[in-house]
Amino acid sequence: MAKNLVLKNLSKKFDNIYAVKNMNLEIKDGEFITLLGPSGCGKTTTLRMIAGFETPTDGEINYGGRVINDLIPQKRNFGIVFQSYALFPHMRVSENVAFGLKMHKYPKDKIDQRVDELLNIVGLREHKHKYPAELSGGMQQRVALARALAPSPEVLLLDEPLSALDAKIRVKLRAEIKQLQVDLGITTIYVTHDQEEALSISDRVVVMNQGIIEQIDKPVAIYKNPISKYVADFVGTSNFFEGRLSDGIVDNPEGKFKVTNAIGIKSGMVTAAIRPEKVEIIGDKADSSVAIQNVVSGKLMVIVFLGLIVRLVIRLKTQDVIVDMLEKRFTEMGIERGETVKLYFPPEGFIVYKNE
Amino acid sequence: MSTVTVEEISTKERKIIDDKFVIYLAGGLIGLFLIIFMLLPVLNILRLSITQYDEVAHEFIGKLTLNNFANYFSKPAIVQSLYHSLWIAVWSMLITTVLAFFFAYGLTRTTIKWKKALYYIAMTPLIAPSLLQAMALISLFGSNGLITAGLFNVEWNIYGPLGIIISEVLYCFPHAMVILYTTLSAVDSRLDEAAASLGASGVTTFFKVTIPTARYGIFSAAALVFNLAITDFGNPIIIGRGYRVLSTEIYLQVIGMQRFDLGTTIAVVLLVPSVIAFLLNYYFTKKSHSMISGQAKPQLPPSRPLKKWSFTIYTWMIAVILLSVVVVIVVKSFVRVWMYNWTLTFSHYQFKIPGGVGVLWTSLWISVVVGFLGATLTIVNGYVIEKKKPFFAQPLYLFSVIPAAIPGLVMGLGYILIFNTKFLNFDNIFYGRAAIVIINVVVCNFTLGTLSSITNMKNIDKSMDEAATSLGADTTRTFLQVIFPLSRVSFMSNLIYYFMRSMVTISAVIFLVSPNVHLAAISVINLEKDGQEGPSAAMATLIILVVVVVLGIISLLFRKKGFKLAAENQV
Repeated sequence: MAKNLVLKNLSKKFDNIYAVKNMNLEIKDGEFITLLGPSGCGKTTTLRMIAGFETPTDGEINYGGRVINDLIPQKRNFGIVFQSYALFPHMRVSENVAFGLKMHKYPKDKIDQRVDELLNIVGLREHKHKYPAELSGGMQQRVALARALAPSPEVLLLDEPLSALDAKIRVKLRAEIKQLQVDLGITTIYVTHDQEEALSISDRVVVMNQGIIEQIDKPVAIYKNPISKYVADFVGTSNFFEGRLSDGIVDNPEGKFKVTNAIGIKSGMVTAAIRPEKVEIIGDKADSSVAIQNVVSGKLMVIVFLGLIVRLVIRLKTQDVIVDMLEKRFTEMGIERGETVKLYFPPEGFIVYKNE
Repeated sequence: MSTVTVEEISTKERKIIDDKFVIYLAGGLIGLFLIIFMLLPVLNILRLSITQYDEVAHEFIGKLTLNNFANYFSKPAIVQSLYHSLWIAVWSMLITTVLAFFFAYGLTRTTIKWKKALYYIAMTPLIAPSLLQAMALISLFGSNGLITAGLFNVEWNIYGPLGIIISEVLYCFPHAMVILYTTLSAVDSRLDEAAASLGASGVTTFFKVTIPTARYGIFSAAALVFNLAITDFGNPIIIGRGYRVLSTEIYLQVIGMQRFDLGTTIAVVLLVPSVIAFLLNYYFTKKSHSMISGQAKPQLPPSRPLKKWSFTIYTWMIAVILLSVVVVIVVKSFVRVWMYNWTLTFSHYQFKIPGGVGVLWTSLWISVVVGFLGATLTIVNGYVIEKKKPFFAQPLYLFSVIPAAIPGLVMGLGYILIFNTKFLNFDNIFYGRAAIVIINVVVCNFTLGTLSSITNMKNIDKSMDEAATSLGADTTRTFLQVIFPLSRVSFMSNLIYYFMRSMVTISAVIFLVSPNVHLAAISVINLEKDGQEGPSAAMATLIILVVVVVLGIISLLFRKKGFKLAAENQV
């Protein structure tokens, strides 16, 4: 039977301030969902309520058709992985993994077998007799993962599990976690402030801001169609132009930008957002053939090589614009730093948000 | 990672006791324990101090009155004891703080040699009852002292206020030194270097940077010394002679004259300065800790020769004085008659007192029980207060820190007044007398035990608890299998602390000993007052020996496990 985890109007107040407010979310059985947001957005509080470490002020947590608000953490059978690993330093790796099994009165003769099985999965079988302090950060977090999975939890909760690790190990372990989750088919809730991590690992991403859900969607959809200026800013990079919208044109000090995606907004003060890769640099020769509309010139200030692409910072009259383009094409164009370039902002590249 | 399918684990239905219930029970019991054995006796003293007393029948009569205080302030001889106490405490505070500050400075900010040895020598007053100093001073500077009578053959002697002050300085020295040592090693010494690099002279740096950055530590040490000196009983009763202070006055009124009214009244008078000193100490300690930077300590640059030599001489001078207190007593215990007959003898070790040498074993077993009970209660208390934070965590914390403010003598008086009445007599209970002594020592030293346990709990990451919980462990098992193993070092140091306090404490238990239960430290005081200086020195020597041996055994046991503990601490 599929067991969904449903949050209904879930709220948590600390000293009369909402950490989480009226949260509604349905997590399907076997789904990998990520709560994404800056610190203080309520993502960790949500996770801790699901784990049972915090009691909701309002609303309910429903798992498999049963309200579990008041169920003690021990009986939820959810596995948790912490940012700080939280391995028991006085126990060997094998004892750490066996801890949950012992607590669950797992038959003694089968504990060893189960521990080996888990350590095999995370590739640390040969380290089973070591103490946590003798392992690297990445290895410790693998042990923590094995420990959390040992009692066959129904839901796996990961609280910024990779934040304390080096960039390279972070990318590697993130792929391993995803693979493991797919193999086990376990419902997984992942908390992070790293949008790249969230987009790369999740089935769906929940973008949170000040205790409220801004957007829930698949990673691609979040990136391509951010529902608010906040999401457009927090997930990926965006250039913003503020101005008055009328007749499909945003009037900004830099110029008049024609926009096509002003859905539902007729007029008023708006912010038009455009991703760096949507902005084009037009070569000198092409100046007359392309429409003059949505073209602005600026000075190339910074060039950052990122491998396949280059990221350019171009200074306009009143603000800077970030432009991403293929490195190969950039080299072909032969533009130098300090040169003046012309930028084309395609009307369909803009998403328009009404200003609050 | 390989692909696997995890088989479904069939777990048996487990019974889990609600965490809240366990925490409420543990915290509630400790709270109740403190209410009964700390709060009630003290409140009772406050009540009795304003209750009418029948001087003939030696009984309190129910009526409320302020007569006791009127009585107190109408007797100049008794009122004087308040001024005496303040005088002693202020001078002890000033002298001890200054001496200990430069000693700690030498250990932390100069490159003198043998720092560890100096540190341990500075701690020696902690392993003996607080009358050893007075005993040693009398042996050297008394009317029949080795130096006064023997060396210079002068009439002058040390009895009275001067003797008390010097004894208190020697006794309080380690307490102040520890605080100042912690402060000076925690405050970033690079500030000094920065000042020096900006052109400040050594003296300017010392007064403009070193002292101001350490000021809260200095204040907190001073307040603690004031508190210890004003509440001490052992030293003034031995060396004070006619010079009475509040603590000796309480004892004399109660034990000598059965005047419980004056006893409780003076106890309340004594409570005022000691509580104020405690509050100041508490406040400055908090302030001081907030100034401690987590920065790694840089290597000290070599001190200039003049500085190095002056501090070497200074620190060793103090070390020699502190050591000679012990040496004088040990030597005294082995000579037939001090000053008259220097032949070696063991006769002083044949104690002609009730219980004989057995009092030492009583003290030992009681101290072992106190050690385990105190360490256990305080570690559980720290866990409840710091990690579990039940709704009553605040009052529980408050009750836990109050004992340090209450003079031991007052607590002891409170105990006999409440637990040894017509209605309730602990001598009628099997081991009742020993139990009350044990409880008294545990309660009197509850503050430091709890505070160090809370600090320990703060160092254990919150997620440790939660990890265990999410893996299915209830509070009891989380505590026993995760928290306690991680707190072993803290547990052991609390155990040692309690053991030492119990072996040497006088003022807290002097009202509680009885023909059934004699304690070694009390025997020292009784023998000394009795003029049996040899046996009293012998008993003091035995106490020191027992404490040193037990400390040695514990540190040996720990050294074996040292490696594993060190590995754990890296996490």
